Amino acid sequence: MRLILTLFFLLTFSSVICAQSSAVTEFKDNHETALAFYFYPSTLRMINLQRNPEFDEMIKDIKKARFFKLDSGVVTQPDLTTLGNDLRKAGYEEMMMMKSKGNDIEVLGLEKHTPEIVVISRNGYECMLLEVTGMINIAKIPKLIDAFSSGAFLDVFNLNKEQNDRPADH
Amino acid sequence: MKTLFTVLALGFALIAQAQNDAVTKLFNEYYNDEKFTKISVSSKMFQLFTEIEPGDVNEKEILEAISKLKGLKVIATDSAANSAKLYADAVKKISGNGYEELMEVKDAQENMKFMISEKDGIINELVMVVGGKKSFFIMSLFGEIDLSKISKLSKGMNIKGMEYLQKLDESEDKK
Repeated sequence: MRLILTLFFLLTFSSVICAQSSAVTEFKDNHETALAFYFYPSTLRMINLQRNPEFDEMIKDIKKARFFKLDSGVVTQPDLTTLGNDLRKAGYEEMMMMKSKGNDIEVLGLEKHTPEIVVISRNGYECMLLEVTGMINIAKIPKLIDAFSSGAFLDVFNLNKEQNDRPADH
Repeated sequence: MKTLFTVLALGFALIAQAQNDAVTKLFNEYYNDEKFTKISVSSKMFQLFTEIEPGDVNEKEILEAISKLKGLKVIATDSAANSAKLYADAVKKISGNGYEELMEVKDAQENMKFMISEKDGIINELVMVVGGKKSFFIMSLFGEIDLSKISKLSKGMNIKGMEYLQKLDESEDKK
């Protein structure tokens, strides 16, 4: 019985440790980040200044999101290739690739009960990493783009912008 | 008799491969050219969204259209000096590989051609080629394709280039 319990705890804790030490975490730890945001359901709802129901609906299945911005000086293309390869070794599969006018975007996904998606984006002067644990409702995206265009959300990436000083409409 | 079936099966497999190669070759041809935007979406992306609960009928139709797709590839540029040649070459290469023409639209601004690959009454690939004065656009959608739902998808998704698919709906309305 003791052996079974020991094995159970060892397996449980090793899987937790494994989930925490993802390739993205290692990459972030080895490179200086210019900006880092950690979003949870509660903080994601906070940026929805106008209480847009579409946004709440889209994020309802997101358990956690991490966003890192790194200057191009600290990240090279081979670094990102290595990150992509490390993710593939961990079971992530390519979901989307886009190359456009110097902007490269790669989306990799890990299929499991709660899916994990990593977006690697790079242009000439910066690199962005987004890791989402959970799901995003793709059908809500067009309405969200309209809402973002009208400034309905707190732009966490430009916190000094005048629009963010605007009080939320209730 | 068994040999005949094997030869036929191999023949069909080769034809299918040839169709696939025509579009893949075009994508590979422009892959390293910085002037072109390249987008590739795999079946994994589409699978991920099949588990989402639709909020209304419109979303249900968009998600239904997505759920049957296996992949999407796009090559686009808006700064091609030889867009007319690119368009003519692409149409020639694709249509010469067993794709059937579905629809053609010509106006003062651009030419567009829709081609499909069909098997057992099911459309398994839709290829769209668009050539403007300086623009050139190829999109290949593959999977199980319901044209009426694909046009709804293009209306729902705010992706540049997808609006061309609405031409399919317009042609249905005229019938």
